[in-house]
Amino acid sequence: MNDKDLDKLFKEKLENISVSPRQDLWQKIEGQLDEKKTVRLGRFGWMRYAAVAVGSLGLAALLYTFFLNEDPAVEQKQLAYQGSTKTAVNPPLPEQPSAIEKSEVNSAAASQKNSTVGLSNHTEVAVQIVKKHVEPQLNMEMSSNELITLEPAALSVYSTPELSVETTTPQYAIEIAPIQPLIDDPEIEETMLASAQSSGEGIVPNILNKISDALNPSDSKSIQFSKDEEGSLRLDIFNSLVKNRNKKRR
Amino acid sequence: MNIDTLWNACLVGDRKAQFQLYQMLSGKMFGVCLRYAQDEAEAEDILQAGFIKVFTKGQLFENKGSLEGWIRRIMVNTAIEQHRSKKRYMTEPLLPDTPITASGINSDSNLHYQDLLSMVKQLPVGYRTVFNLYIIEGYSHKEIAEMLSISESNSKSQLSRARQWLKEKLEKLENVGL
Repeated sequence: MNDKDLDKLFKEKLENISVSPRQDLWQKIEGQLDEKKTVRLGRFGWMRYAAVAVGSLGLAALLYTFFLNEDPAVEQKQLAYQGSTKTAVNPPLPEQPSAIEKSEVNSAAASQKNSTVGLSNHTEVAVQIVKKHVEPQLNMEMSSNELITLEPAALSVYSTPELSVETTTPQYAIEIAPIQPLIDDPEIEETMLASAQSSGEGIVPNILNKISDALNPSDSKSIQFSKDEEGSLRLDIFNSLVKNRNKKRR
Repeated sequence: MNIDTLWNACLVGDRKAQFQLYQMLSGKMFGVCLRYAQDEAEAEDILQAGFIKVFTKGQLFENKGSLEGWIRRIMVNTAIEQHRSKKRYMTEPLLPDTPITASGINSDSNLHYQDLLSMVKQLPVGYRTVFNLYIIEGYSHKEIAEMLSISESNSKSQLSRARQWLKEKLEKLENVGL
């Protein structure tokens, strides 16, 4: 039998054979086709969600930058205003004390003490007004009168362009609340310190620490085991990660 | 129903039309798959994957030549892809001689196609693929080399080995038959 006969035999017999496959194969194909359809729909659904997410993020970012830009703009305006007024202030410098005195006279009607303080450092109105507002804490009876009298004083100052700058700055000063310590309890403060965590270790962390010390006595600080109050074990790796990364890259 | 209108309905996604086309061609195509597969389960996998391709990528068929020929090519390509995805089995050793069910045959002409098919199935996957592509599908060695990403000489040597192997099997069968 030569090659040609062999080829012919196989070609004739096998070229157009027809064998019906299993009956349930179509169900499988149909199922897979349906699956593909739902997958495609699912993908589009996912994309829709993604689009919504991206859109809302973009909007948020836009609004954020918008508001962020608005505040500096206001401040810049104020600064520009300050600058312009300051240049205007320079020529009538001698007038300044008199204007302050005027305002002080108005407020002095309410409190003598205040006026004396104001006169002692008459160049800095900001400090005066802050002090005025600190004072009500000391003598509450005068505070109401003072505040009422302060407003006309401020208004009168505001009418003169030289002092409008100083009247705007106290607005910030008034709002400052007395600084309080973040942590009142010194014990809490102690637990927050990094070095304090070694206290109160359990048996297991101790053993593990001992083992790590024995294995690597040269630097016992690189791996530290500890336990917290809730009983969860904690492993601190200090410099090892950096070294490991280099090793992996090798 | 005309095959063209049937095919157009298939393209739209008409499940009934797709089933009709499947019924029309699944026998022939399963025959193709069987030639390339090691066993029936593998042939079924190829047939399934092939029909999925036909129905999901039907728009790629550009009415050149017959639809049946196109689907047949898809089946062949799917079979090759399946082999490629399981490439580590390409070098699987020859199965021990499984007795071929020679059902009262004394000459070549009386050989039943099942016997020949089971012989082809027993070929190592590399031999089998080249043999199928060259002898039955009628591709050239150059085309086969491209399809399988092997060299042309490799294709030729695989074919000659496949022939040799089949000849030996046929002779054995004749001896059994006689």
